[in-house]
Amino acid sequence: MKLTPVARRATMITIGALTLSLAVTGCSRGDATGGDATGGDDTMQFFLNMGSDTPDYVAFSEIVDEFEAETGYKIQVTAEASTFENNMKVRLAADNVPDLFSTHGWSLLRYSEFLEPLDDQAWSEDVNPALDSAMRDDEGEIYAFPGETNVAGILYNGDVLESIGVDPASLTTWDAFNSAAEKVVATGTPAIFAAGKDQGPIGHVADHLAVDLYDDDQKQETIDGTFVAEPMSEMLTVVQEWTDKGYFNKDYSSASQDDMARALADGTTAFEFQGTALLTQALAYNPDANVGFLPLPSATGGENYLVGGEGNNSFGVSKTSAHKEEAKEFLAFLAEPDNAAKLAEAAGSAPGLIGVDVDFGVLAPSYEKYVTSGTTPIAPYFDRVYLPNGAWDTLVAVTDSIVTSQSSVEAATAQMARQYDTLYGQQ
Amino acid sequence: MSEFSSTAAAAKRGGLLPRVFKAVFITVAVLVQLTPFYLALTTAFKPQSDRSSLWLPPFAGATLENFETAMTVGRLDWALENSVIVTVASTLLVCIIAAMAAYPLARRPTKLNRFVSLALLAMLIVPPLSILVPLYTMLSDLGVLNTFGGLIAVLTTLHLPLAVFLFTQFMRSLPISLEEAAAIDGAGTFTIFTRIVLPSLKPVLATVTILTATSVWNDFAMSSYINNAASMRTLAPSVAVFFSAQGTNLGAAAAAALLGLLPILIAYLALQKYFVKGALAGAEK
Amino acid sequence: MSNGTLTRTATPVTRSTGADPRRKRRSGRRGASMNLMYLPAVALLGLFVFVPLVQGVELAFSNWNGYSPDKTFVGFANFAQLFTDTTFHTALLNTLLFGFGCTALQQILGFGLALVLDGTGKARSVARSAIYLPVLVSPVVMGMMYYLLFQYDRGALNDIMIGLGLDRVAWLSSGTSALAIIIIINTLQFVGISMIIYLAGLQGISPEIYEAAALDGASGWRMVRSITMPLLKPAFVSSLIINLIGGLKLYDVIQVLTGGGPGYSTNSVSTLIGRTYFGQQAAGYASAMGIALLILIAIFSIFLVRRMDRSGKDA
Repeated sequence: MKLTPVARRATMITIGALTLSLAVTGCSRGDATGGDATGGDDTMQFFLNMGSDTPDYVAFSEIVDEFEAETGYKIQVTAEASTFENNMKVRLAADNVPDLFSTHGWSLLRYSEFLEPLDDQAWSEDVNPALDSAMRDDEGEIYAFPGETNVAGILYNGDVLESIGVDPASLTTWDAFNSAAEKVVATGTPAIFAAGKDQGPIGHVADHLAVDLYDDDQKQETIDGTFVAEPMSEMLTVVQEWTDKGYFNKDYSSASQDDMARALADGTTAFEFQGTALLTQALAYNPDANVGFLPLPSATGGENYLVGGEGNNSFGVSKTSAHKEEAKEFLAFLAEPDNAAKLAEAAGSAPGLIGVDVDFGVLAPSYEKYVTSGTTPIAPYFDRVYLPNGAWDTLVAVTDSIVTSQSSVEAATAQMARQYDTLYGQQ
Repeated sequence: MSEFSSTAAAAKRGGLLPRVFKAVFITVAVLVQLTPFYLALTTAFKPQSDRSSLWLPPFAGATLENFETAMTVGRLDWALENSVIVTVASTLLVCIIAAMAAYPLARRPTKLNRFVSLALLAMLIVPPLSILVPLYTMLSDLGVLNTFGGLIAVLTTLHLPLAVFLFTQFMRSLPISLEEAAAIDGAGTFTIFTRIVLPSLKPVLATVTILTATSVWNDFAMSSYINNAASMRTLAPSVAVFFSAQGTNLGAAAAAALLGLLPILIAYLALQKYFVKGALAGAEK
Repeated sequence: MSNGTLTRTATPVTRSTGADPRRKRRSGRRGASMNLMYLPAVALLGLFVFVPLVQGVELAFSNWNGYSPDKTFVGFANFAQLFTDTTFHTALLNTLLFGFGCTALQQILGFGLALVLDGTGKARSVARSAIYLPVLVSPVVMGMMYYLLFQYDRGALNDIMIGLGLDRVAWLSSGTSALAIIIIINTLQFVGISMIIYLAGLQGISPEIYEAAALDGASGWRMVRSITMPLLKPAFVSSLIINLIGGLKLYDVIQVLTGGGPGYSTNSVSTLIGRTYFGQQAAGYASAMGIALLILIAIFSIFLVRRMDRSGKDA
């Protein structure tokens, strides 16, 4: 494109002026629903912890559309994936809180000071009692709508276990687990697959073990401000043993949570410690995968247990929202049995309310045996209930340091103790 | 006209070995740089179910579904438009403001100006996280989050220090005689700037333009917080959308990345002529 | 490029006898208004960088968790902790490694590439564009593409290993190899910038200098060393600063490839600040880290710029 210098300059200046004027007027683009990007006065802002190409999001968008059609209210949904938490913290700090947002397990412990109490809502009495310790405060007040009851335990790939001649149902003690793991490792497959890069999954291992190793008195002490070190060391020692025996996957440090789902789907691992939602992801990769979940054996002579609590798809209303009533209406809409079931199924989790029928598909046997029947106790996430807010990251870091052989059990426990004191002081 | 200097030719001496070595060196360099792009290409054209090696082209059947996902789910159409607006505006503003700022800093090295130079340069090393929350709060209070104006203002500001530095360096090397002559003739500061200095800035202007445009086009940290709403998102955050805890869609991410590369690549190819051509113009006596 | 005729005034201005008062007055007046030209830049940077920075400094003296409205003042506790925090020391070392290591490699490679690729011809032009291509993508994207190469399961490199009959290697799971990989990626991504800058510098050297040297009997490498390199000093400075800043602020590539792991071994100060601020919810401590880094780099930059200024005056 050969223009004369003058013409070229004139064109550039015109383009420049146009873009500048666009910029200066601070105008923004309207979104697909025709509303203003920032929402304008009558649109509710809904900030979700979800990837926009996930089944959760698809189900969710459908529900939102139905709600908008029924009530005429407008909801603008922003789905943020891996940077949701950071973004949320920045928004809270700037007092720019969305009307509705995912509380992803932290409605009580992190976000409650920013949330509208919801105990007066009709659905509140239908909340699964297993969630009480996780979501209700001392006065029984609840701060978010539970779209799911997160259930976590030992996830397994049945084909791998079959190939070494182990029946999953027989794994009711740690001895049985360890011997099965040995056999798996002997075939060259990692026994336990964990994702080190995402700074999260290994913390689940810690949570699952710790909640059993701490007895009630020790748990109370930890809540009250004294860090009890022995059970923590015990937990880390178990992890150390597993590391020494080579149970973990070789690429632990660079594996992501997505790799965990793939490993279960492809049968390249036997066990994982995570929530059951990961099984749904695995099934998305391979619908024929033979996967399921088991309760964790108790090392202290107690009952075998699952870990559970507030799930990722839990939603709260901001205390400072200008649309509180409409937002609460939306939550009530979510509480309707069909919608609640839809949400839970898409997430691959148990529902958050009782009386909701969910089709668990391939996972139905596991769910019926352990969850719906109510015979297996569900323990809370150790770090959420017993450790001060912010300790999760340290729990992940110290457990990770054992798996990557960067630290000893003593040093890791000491680090946990130090951070506990700092964080407890912060509260 | 667009002649490359013959310095390299003059400096070279014949001989097969050096030439072979140079050829191998360049071939290796080019292959190394292109390999990641090749892998992204094969990944982008394979459906998620194709688990064949990344080195192999999609023999099982290439598909455009990843590109579709990128455009529909990742809303890459919006992202590209937004990025174009933000990049063009920011780059223009940076060039103008930085060139203006560099002039007194290059020509009047008073103590104050030397301090200003240093201070501006110092802004280069501020880690974005250190200013994120206060900056975000400021923008929120001003009501300019999720607007073009807010993001352009911030990105322009962040790219000023380097641009000012480059302009200052270059201007210092320009002979001052022309400007002084014009001053004696009675021309005002601004006239001297626009009539004499600006036209001879072409080579460094091209450099600043490409560096700034690329950096703004690919900005991730600031853009992902400031323009968070789906309709206002720019390119890099839109690629990141595919990395979620619920599943990483590498195919779609690769497709989105490749789509995002196209506009800036075209801009670079168009501008690169100016990059090296006319470098002699500034050194003309 | 002629600008009309230069008229000589009746009273020639002599510089050797000190400033002509008339000239001084004129330049003084011109000077003051000249400074107005950097006002927009200073205003913007003041508002959007400096002010938030100062507010960030406040944070460094607090115990803030990053989001709640309460902040408790803790004095210098955060800064004191920096001295004993080995994680921070590792991150600092890594940052210096990324900054100076990558930059050194980029100068050498960039200069070499510029020397070889200087000149006309389609082949050279294509090669230059290919080498510059990685600069055009976001570091996040670059990290993702290299992840395709280095990932354990189905990574391109491991496919080659399997093809050769060897075991797969967990490239990113060892601190040393992960660090090396990050350095390589950052070096390769931005070597194109140094190459372009050196190329522009090479263009600016007029061929007559080489011809004169050739007449004197200089050849090949000797010419490069004694003529080209000294004349490229300004290019060297620009390239150095651009690459150095990029290396010191390295963030996205590390996040995508290792997340700072294994353990904390590949963190840069930037990624550690991110982890501390958001993950550990210790925003005050993270602020202190940022300030510490700033101070260190500021000291170094002042030193560097003084040397530049001095050599600029000599030139």
